[in-house]
Amino acid sequence: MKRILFVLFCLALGAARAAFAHSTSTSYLLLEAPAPDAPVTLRWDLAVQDIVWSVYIDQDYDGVVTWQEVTEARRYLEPAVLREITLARGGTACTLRFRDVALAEHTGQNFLSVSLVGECPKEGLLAVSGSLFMSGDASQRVLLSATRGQEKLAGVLSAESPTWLEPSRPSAWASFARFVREGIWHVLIGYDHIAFILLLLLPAVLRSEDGKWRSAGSLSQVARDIVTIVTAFTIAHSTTLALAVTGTVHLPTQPIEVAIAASIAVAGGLNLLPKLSRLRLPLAFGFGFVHGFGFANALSGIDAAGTALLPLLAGFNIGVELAQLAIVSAVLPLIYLARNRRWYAGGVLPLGSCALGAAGLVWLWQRL
Amino acid sequence: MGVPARLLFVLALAVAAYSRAAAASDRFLPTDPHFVVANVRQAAPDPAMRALIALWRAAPDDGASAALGAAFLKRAGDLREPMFVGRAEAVLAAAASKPGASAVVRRLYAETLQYRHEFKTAESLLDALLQESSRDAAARQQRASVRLVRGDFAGARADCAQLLAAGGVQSVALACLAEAMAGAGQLPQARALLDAYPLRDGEPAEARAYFLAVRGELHERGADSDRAIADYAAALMLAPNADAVRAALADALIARGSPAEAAELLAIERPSLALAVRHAACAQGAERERLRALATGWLDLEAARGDALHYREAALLALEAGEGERAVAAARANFRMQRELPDVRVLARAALAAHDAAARHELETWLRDTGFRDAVTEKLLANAAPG
Repeated sequence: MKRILFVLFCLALGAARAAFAHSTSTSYLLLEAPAPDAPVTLRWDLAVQDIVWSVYIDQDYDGVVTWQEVTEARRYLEPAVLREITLARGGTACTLRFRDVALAEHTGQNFLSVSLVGECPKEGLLAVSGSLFMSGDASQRVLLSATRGQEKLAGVLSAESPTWLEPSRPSAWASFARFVREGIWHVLIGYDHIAFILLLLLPAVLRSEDGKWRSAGSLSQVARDIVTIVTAFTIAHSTTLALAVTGTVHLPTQPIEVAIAASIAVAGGLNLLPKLSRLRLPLAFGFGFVHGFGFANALSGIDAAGTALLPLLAGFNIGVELAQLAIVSAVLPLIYLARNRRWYAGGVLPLGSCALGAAGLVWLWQRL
Repeated sequence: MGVPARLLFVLALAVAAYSRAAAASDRFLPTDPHFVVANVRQAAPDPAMRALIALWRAAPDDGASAALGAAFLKRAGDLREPMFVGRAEAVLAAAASKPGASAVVRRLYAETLQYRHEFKTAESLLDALLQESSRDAAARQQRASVRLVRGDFAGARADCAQLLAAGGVQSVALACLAEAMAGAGQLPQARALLDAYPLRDGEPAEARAYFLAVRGELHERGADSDRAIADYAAALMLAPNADAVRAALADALIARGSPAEAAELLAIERPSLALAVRHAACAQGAERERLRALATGWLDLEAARGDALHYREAALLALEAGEGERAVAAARANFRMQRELPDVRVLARAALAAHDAAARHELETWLRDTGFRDAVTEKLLANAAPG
């Protein structure tokens, strides 16, 4: 009863019992499979606290594990490690060999860093499984990082899900189709890009004459104007997107997001000044470079593991273009029909531009 | 930022956290054979625990599982060492899944779930226990604490009232009831209830600590910071390992404008993440940076592991770094899980820092619907422009 009372009071002192820290219960498994015919190398970093329950390391039981004790415990460590992990390729077990043990630091603690090498069949996908020193501790996790050629793969293993299967390589077509969808989705949810495109579109059915807006001529003229501007925007953002995704240029997110918001405010202001309408093309081109970095930031948040660069880049770009074309196709007929109305040049254009420009200013303030 | 954009943002943060947490450091070989690799005094089982483990291994039945699970949980609390919770869960989950598992095993298993913030599952388990035996005071007390954390004040109040009627430890049952009342629009009455109770030295120290911590919180919410600090300090004297009380006292000191005192209080060995984040907020110079790096490393590791335990601390850390968007995303995720005083405050601060009208609306609606009162939160919201 006394113990129950104790637990009761402890519980009452903090029902959300996750205040502890120094959480180890984590091991790190790095797997390298450079080519199918090369041996697979593994590095497994294990917290001493986690394996001291199953491996006899602290030989003098003083609670302090020294490097000498680790080296002397290798005869216990080696079979224990090989018992806990299994590597297979194509369903056939690999022959694992213990190479050495060193130390490595994670979250300020020394981990035993065990190096293993696996002789595996050449065909098939790799699989890691076993008890992985998790059987006695439900909170134990293995953070797995794998390198397959140039690709980086990752996984988290737990007692409930103790197997990692190497993902099959997605086909170029599947990757392309997936990133087309991602590109479309990004534009449709990225209201700042939609705002910028709308600001480029609104004056496209008008022309500047003596400092005033007049309705533009034929549909072909309007279409030519829009195609020119959208193409300039596309060339610019495709260039910076490619530069950023290939790692040629890297810019931090925050200034890019600020510049995108600024581009909307500037475009909104420019639409109120018919005399400056000739600046729409350079504006679209110039800010297109900035928006490209914005697309790259969005792309970096998508799990692209195992995807080749070309289908990723081409797919995302085409997706962005398709979404932009969809917006143009939806808006252009409406504003073309309205271009001769007085309320369009005198109302819709200035009010719409003010509203979107003001939104740009708000985003600018929020992102600063 | 819209909801899909926010999801992308959170996903990007998780991917970045995984990359940082899983990054491999260089291997090294010590040249000195006496180089200390690790101190495992906390982790290694003592003789009493080894005996329990041996008994459990010989016959892993319900009784042995309950004894070993309880010992692991007690050790986790005594040493503030989370690995023992994982060990308890491994033993108790297996025992609780067997047909005819005892009430003790299932209640202890629910406790391990609470550690993992699996409040809903824990509450369901406790519901089942109480359906089987409505007189199970331990299960009722545990369910009351879960309900308080989740902001179910009406449910908690019913449980606390039953504990009181059943003649449990009066100070604990009263504090439980007062906490539930204060969450449901009766803060003055709750304070009066606890003020009127003559806390006696003869009561168990843990009970007095809990009572004082609750009374301190209610004083704090009623804008009486001096009495709150006195109560928290007294509670901490009685339960020095209770990180929640230490954190509450530190928060109250920081709010009163005594960061140096808070920093001194938080400068303990092996601080928890909750304490390290608060310490980073009130420390200076290199120490501040060291603590921030430590806390960021832990949070990255937690994100990489897929745990969702410290959104509150993630929000606090982001607020300190001036990252409003990140703070509000974490604070809202936290508020979906737990709704205690620090959770309410961090959501208010994050919503205002990020100028996030939706988050502010969510909080204000909840405050209005429940009647939860807190002077600090109300002042924060009143001083900011309407959302």
